[in-house]
Amino acid sequence: MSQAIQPQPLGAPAGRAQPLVTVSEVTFWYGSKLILDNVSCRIEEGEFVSLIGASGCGKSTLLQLLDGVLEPAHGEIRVGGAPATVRDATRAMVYQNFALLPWRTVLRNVRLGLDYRRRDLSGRERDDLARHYLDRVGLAGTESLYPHQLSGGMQQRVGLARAFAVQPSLLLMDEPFGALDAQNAEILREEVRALVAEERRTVVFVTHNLDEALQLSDRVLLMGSSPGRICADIDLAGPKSDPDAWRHRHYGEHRARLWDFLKAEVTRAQRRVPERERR
Amino acid sequence: MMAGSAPAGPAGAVSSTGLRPPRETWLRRRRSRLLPVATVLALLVIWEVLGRTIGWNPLFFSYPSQIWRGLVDLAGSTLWTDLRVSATEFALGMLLSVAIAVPIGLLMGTSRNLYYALDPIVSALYSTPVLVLAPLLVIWFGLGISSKVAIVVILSTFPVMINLTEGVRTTDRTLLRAARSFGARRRHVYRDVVFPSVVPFFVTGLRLAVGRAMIGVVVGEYIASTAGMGYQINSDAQVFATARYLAGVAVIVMFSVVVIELLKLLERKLAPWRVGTHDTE
Repeated sequence: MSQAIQPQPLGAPAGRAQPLVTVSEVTFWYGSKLILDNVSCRIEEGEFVSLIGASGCGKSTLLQLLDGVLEPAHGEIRVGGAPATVRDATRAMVYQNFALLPWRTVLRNVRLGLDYRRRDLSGRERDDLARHYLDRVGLAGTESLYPHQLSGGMQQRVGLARAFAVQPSLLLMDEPFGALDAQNAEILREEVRALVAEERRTVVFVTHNLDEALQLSDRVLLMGSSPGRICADIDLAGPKSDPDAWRHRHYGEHRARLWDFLKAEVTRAQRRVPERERR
Repeated sequence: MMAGSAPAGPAGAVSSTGLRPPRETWLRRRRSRLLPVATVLALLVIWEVLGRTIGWNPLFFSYPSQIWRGLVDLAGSTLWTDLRVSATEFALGMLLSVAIAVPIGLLMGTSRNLYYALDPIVSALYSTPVLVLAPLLVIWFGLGISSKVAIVVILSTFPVMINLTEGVRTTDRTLLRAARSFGARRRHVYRDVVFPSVVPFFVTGLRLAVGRAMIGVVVGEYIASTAGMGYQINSDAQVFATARYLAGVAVIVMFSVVVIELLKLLERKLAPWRVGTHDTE
């Protein structure tokens, strides 16, 4: 079991050959509505990238395209060298409303991805792996409870354990703390930060919360809406020698820049004639 | 971190000043069980008293003690045969209904094309009082059990079918997406997401179907038959054996109650995760 729970960063290329994720000129429609217009970006292995933008700018759609459950109408997304829809490179999603299966116990919810993806492991090994991550998010002892018996914060811990358990090469988070109260969100934020660092995961993180993005990410992609596109790419990661102090020093400056952009976007979105038929 | 603690606080905890939570009385705690029994008993007593004091003609009116006598009388004659015939019709009819409704209902929920094609027919047949077809079915299937089974099938198939379709169509899309995102293939999505989320809809459909099946059996027998509870009720009503007739009705009521309770048991077996999510019932 000990080697089963070692993080396995997917095929780290010798000498920075290729980024883990490349999004090239992706366009996507929902029905006849243009959601994403010619979006391109790249994400290096080990990066923590936040997507920020007004509601309806296609952040979640981009996340699902990266996940490979949606397919771009035009353009290409490659994860770990293969098209995103070829699902060899494991990805895992953490959802705003947790998306736990109500009929599965906590342990079996955490096992979900392992049951589909890790058929090479025996049932016991999958259980052990699930238990390890359940323990890691502080939920040891809740294995046989059902989700509805847990508080929101605890349910999202299950969601996190489920995502980390598959040891994904790309971890996708869709406003994971959006449905939690402020204190619980803060606590979970710290834990996610620790977990991501410890397991050296690559993360794409969707949020509305500027401070959340500033605290967690190495890079922020600002998205404009109607149609969704990437407007700015802001590097928050300082020099490798002293990242925290650097981050601290530039916090205010970065925040102001993000907020100026976001405020303009939101105001613009509000002025637009409501043609509200998103999804 | 609250590792492993139960979500609720400790029961009966003493406060720092030595206070205890206000105690619920014995009666209050059991009211969900006691109140229904009390209502039924009270009604029976009032009925009995009224029946004895007013002294209406026993041809037109009866009361509990007389109905009990009627029941004893019935039990000594044809009750068991009638009950067996009706129960057989009911069970066969329900089984066939489920066998027809489950595949079609699931397919209609899955395939949009099939849904568009069949929904108008299914909805129309569901809301039409198809009992008007009963005489025709008797002509086709005869006086025996099979005509009643046919009536039950045309009554009970649609509620099960419609609820299953609805259940599949309203499966939480986030859950479907999550399962696929975590690597579920099509059959896994059905096994792990669609089917479990459809269970409550299935049980609701069954509950509606049971009520309609009871009507189908009794009315079918009423119209044309040689045995069964509906037959017994009809013949006793025609000779003004009112107590026996009402005793038959009472047997049907009890049969329905037993079936509904069995259904609740089935739901608890099929959907254990719902225990505690809805405290009523």
